[in-house]
Amino acid sequence: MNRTAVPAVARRLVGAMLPVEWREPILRDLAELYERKAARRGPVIARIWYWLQVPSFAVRFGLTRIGSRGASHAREGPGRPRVARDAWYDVQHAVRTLVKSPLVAIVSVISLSVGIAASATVFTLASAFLGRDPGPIGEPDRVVAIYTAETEGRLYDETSFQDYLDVASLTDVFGSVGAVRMGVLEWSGGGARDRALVEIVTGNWFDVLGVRPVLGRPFSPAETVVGNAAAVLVLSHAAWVDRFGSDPGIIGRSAELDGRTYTVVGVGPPGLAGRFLGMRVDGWVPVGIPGGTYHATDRELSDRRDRDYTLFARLLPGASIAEAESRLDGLATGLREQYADTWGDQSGLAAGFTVLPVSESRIPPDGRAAMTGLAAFAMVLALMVLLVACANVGGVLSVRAHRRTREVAIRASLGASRWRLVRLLLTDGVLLSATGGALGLLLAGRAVEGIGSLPLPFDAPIRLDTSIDARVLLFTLAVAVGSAMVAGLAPALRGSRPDLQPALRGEDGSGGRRRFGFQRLLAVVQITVATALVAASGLALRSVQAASGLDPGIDARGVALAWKEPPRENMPPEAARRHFLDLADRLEAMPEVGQVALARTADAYFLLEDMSAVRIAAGEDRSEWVAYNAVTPGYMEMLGMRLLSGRPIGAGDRAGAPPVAVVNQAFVDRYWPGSGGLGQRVRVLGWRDFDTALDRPAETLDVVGIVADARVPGETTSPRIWLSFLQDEPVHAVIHARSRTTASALVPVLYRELELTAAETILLAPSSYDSLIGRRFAGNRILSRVFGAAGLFALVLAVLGVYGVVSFAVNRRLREMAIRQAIGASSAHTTRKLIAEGMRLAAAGVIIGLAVAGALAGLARSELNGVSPADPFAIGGAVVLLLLGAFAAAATPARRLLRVHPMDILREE
Amino acid sequence: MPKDTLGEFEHLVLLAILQAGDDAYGVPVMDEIQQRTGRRFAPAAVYVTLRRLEENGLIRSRLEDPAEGRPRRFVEVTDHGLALLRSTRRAITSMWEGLGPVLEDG
Repeated sequence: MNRTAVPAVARRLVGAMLPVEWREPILRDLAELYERKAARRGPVIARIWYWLQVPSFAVRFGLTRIGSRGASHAREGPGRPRVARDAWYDVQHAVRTLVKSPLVAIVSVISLSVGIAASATVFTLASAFLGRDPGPIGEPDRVVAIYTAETEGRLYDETSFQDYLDVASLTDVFGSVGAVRMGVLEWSGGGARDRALVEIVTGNWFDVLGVRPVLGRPFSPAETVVGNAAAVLVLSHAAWVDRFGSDPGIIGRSAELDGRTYTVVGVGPPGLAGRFLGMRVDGWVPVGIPGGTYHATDRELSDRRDRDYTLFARLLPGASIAEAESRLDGLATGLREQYADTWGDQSGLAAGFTVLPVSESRIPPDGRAAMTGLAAFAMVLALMVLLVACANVGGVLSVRAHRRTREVAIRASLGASRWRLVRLLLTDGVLLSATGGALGLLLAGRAVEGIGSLPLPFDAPIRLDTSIDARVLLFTLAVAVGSAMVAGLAPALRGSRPDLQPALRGEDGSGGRRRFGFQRLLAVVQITVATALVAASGLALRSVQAASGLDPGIDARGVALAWKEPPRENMPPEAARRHFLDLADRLEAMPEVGQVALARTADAYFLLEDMSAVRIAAGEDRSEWVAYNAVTPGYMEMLGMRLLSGRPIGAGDRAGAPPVAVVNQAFVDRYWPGSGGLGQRVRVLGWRDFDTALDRPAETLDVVGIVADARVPGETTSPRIWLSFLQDEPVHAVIHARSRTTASALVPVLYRELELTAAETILLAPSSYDSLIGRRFAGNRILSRVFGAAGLFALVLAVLGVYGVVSFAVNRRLREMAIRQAIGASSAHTTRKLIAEGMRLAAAGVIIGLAVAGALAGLARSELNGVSPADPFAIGGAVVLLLLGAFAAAATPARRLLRVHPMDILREE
Repeated sequence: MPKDTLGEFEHLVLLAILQAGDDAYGVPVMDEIQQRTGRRFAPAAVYVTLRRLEENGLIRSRLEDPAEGRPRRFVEVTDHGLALLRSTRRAITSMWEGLGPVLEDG
């Protein structure tokens, strides 16, 4: 996205208000000022500034236009029409009266700004994560994503290149079918971190998406013959701007990636960022360049077991998704008959194809389900904050309108028209919501920027596009301003036709009781929402606390990790193993390094722990996939894994010796419940790595040891199995090095000694193992802060709002109580009665609020890390805090009864 | 119809146009005011004033179309505007007469 472009909607709004002869020059000047702002203060501030110009121009140009449309004799002062003059008077009056009762102004402005900021932030993030915007592609309704569904596995897995070729042959439903996979390359000449994220695509890619490069051209058919494709590159617009300074002469120039020289043939359209949400690609290269690109090698392209491509297809005009599905089903049936080793009923094999509209494909649909619960939770919380805010503003404004009944009556008796009075009363609401809205904008901008810059829990070249969503902002602004208007208008309408007599006498009109009912309802709603919010935030906080009781099952102190791949593709297993063992020996000889162990993956790093799996026989004709690791002798001792019985993987477990395995307690509980597990045999039927099935014969392993389970609160531990690295066929290795000093001191050593390539640092950049384990919960920590802050805000908002309505309700009855006291009731009795009044409202709200909180917690149960939705600390805390707040709100005005003589209160009225 | 009094802000804008010289358009006018007075005004306020000054014949504007992009509107003070500035200055100077010792800076 071009971040320096003026916000288009705001520009159009301003333009619409300007007289024709000044429109273009003023927009030009504003663009100049905007660029200056963006350069000095950053794009977010600049956008906010530009948006603030909309009301500013509306007030000045909108009003003069309306004014000048009327007859010129309406002008009474120099150049200022009557409407504008009255409005100006109303604003001044509103400011003066608000300054006199600052609590109203403060409560409203804080409430609105927090409410708007919270919902704009959450909705912006949610739409970034769960967005269905397919990006700038042509006729997106005709574009679908096609996935391979696994037997007893993922529904939306990738597809092998050979299967892609078969799908592409279905020319009676698809106009064109393209395939894409991610590639991580390195800009040559840059440092190790100077990665280039590319999409490796088929030659028809830009046709499938229906886009044209803005500069240059797409790939030509001659350049993209698979197996003999040319080294050509279409740069993404963002990379062209950032890396090549928008050089207009870029076409035909060369760029070096991973040591290969590519010719730049085009620059993609702005906003076309890549098929996977959050990934910002630097460019596109054709699949099938001789020698391969990243993992897109000749072998991968010819092997049906290598499922690494996502397919996108453009339907023929008139063809439907249902037709595409039925043609793909037919194809799958054929494939199952023809390729029994990759297509079939066995778990993990391909079973069929699934189709999704392109708008559903930005995040993997299986990932979407996991995120939706959390996002829904956050969105409901944010909406509740907004609701509390609107209720607060409504509450204080209606209290205020009520207090102004007398002023309005005087004005009406002096001949002010009803419309004039309504405008006078509404000005408050508009003024407050405009101020609150502007503050909310600033807050939301800051919050989104802050969250966008938070570190991700893993080191991947992902960048979220977290510029604030203008539609979301307008929506929340409209809700808040609208609610302030309605809240202001209802009493304003009522206040503008008061029964003059009682109002002038300082008594309430006949509508009093009904309005009082409305006040009480408002108070109950506010307390309800606040209770739910505070309780939900409390639960979230508790769940994060619970997560810190994690026991990863290993002692990772002082250990640094690095990921290493064999120097060549398709290296024989013995050679690859030898290569890794030599690396380990070389590292171990270094003075900084204490001990080195090798493993196939990392047991406690969530991106890797389930990466390799074996399919084991689990009964007569059943098999299951179990995550496995293969480790060198000494690994288990070095990481302090707790052995329950038997022995760890040892030096005797070499190639040629009987293959052995160590399993965890969960494995024993699942497959041999009630037995010790030692001496059992495990039959391995299949192997896989990532999602790729490995060509490796079946094996039978002797179980020689049982280790304790790692413990993650709220999660059941899965069965795991460890093999000997010396008996494994390694296709990659995770190097575990224990430092003589600190793990972080080893990180640069690993980079240097292992000569890591950019691709080798994607899944696992060399890091201290502790920090990797910690990252798993970094998200939780951030969330806990967010929830904590939301809860605190909710509490403050609720207490402010409750204070307003409860003290109003109590004040209303003050006169009655004063009379009671004057005729003999004790002051203790009347005070108690008043406080009880406030507490009844609070109790009703708290009870309903707890029910709402329970429902909310159910939504996020999986995120609670085992904390019960009825956790006494969270729920009890919320109840106590809110009741205390309500008590303070009721007690403050009631205390007057104790201190002041009842006659003073009666005289005031 | 031309008018014969200047508001404070109109006064500032007219002087800023003169200070900005031949290249006076919206942005330099705002810059001049901000640099010389230290006060920041909403762009909308400046443009609405420019329009009013033009309607009242105190300035005139011309559109200059660049080779690419949107056009700029340059403004200059008319003879009538200059005359009004002079008379305003005379009025203010005479109001200041004799007040030097009272209001001396520092």
